[in-house]
Amino acid sequence: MENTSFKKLLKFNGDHGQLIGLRILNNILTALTLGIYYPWARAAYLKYVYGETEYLGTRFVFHGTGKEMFIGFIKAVGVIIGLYVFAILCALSKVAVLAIVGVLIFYIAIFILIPIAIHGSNKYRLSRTSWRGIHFGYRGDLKEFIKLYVVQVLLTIITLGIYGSWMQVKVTKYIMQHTRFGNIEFNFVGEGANLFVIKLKGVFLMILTLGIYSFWYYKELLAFEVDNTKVIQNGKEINIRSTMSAGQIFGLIFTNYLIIVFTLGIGTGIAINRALRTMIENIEFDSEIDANTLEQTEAEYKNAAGDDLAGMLDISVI
Amino acid sequence: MESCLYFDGKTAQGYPCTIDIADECVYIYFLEDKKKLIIWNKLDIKDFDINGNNLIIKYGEYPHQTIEYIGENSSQFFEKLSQNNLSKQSKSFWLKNKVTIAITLCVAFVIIGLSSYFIFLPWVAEKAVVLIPQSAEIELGNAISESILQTSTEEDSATYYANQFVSNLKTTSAYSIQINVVESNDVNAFALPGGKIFVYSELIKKIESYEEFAALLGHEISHVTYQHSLKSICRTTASSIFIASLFGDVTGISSGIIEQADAFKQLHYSRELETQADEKGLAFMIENNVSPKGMVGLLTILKNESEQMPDYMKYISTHPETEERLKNINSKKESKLVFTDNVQLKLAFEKMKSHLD
Repeated sequence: MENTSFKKLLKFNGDHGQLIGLRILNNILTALTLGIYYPWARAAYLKYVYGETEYLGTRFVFHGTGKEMFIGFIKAVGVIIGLYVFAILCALSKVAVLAIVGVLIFYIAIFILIPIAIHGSNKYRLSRTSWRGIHFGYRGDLKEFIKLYVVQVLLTIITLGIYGSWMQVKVTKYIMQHTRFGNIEFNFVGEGANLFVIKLKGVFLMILTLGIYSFWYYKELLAFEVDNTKVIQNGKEINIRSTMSAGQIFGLIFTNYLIIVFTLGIGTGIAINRALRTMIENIEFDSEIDANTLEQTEAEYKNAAGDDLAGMLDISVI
Repeated sequence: MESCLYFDGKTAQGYPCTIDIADECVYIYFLEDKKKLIIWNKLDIKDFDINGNNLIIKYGEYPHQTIEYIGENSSQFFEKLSQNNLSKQSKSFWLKNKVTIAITLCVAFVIIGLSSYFIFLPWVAEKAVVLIPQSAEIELGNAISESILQTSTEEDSATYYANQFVSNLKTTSAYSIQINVVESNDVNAFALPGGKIFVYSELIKKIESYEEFAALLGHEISHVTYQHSLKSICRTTASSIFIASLFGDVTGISSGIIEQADAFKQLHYSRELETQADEKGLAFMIENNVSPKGMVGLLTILKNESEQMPDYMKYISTHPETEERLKNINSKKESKLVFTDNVQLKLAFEKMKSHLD
């Protein structure tokens, strides 16, 4: 890979005033409606983030609506409330075995909800995102993904977390290989062993440097994720890399912290914009995609339950 | 006529074009292929939206054809398309008056927030106090008292005579008053909810007459009678719940700042309560035929003490400036009354003091 051939093709146009206004409005309406506004708030925020990001001069578009996300929200809330009610009823039954089984089923269900949420969120989020009229898509199979996820988590537990790096790579690989952007495909070529070395080195150096190494650690993690992602169009591979430096990460975290603290949280919008801009504009590509041969291939998908579930379980996707 | 990009929904190729929005149709003229013209029926427009100055119009079934326009006139276009569409019209109204609406909402929210904090919350706390049964209040006081007694030494004999002193006083309090004298070098005394009053030995050593001691008890008994501790607890709790729900996600330092501001408000409230306790304490003395000069004497002791305090402590002290309290008491005409000595009180006081020297 030659350094000179890489170009910055992504741009983030976020406006501080707009995001602060959006966040204040979202927070006020969510508070006044006792949380019911949340799906609309989420849709407005996603619309903002995608809409302010541009590739080759054209912005991405998020087509998701508050209504779709509200329906998903109701389903997700229903599932979670149902689980709680079940667990509480079991606990109240005063039969010891039933109580234990109830709690066990509750935890297993929450555990299985995580891959369901990741799957649903990817499917919804990608399908509702487009660029120049061409939609993204996720073709992963839910059963296959749950199986993969459960096996990987169990392996991670059995190996006391050591396998975690391999698990992360396997899951990322599955998601990437099933992501489409029109007729463009994606791949993830990272190796679990490399990630493990990064993490191991990170832990040791962080202890030795009393945490100062953490900025280099984040830089390496980010580079691992980005640099190992490949974009494939008509058999041609496009390489990506992250140019984010440890100094940039330190500066970003430090100044964002000050901004949030001294504006009593109101300036969080500025901090988010700065973080997004730094992340997005540090991604470089070694060639452009060919827009003229980029064809629409993905079907429409409007079920937002998985995305709302992911929001509730605090899982961040893409 | 404005220049835009047209996408057919099949590939990502963009075709430069201009659009003309008429009453029922949208005409799309292609710049590179002058002969080509596409006409969209407005009724089949799937959706249109605006983000910043980026207008996107989606047309037909999925995969939609789209037109993207980035430029100054996007909000005008948006308005033109919004005819006969109520929800889009409201969005258009919102876009045009974004700043005004946002400011109005913020101001309304701040006013609601401030009035809840300064008016509604204290009112709720005050009402909550009435709902708490006396037995619960006494239990709370007992629990606090027990934990204090575990870490400090009680002066048993002095406690005995202090309680004898109280039994010679008429009180209208709904609580049974019990005094505990504990060993401490601090000049202090405080009342717990439910009737228990703690007096530090050093304060009794500084007090020179039974009138001053009666003034101290009058002050503390008023705290008990008017449920000052409970009111403070309810207020602080209500405030912190309110603040936590409002600023739930702020980081350490800013929550610290907010907490300090809140503590300052609570402090102001405690100063109000102290003044009330002084005045009710004075009335209590008159009722018991104890010379009110005791209150002046007591406040003078406290004043001398506070003069030894560093300045910043004075600032945060819960008692109002003792100077002001003295002035307040001296301004009452009752404070000039003179009574003959109460022998029983005098005796109990002297015995209590003799056990501490």
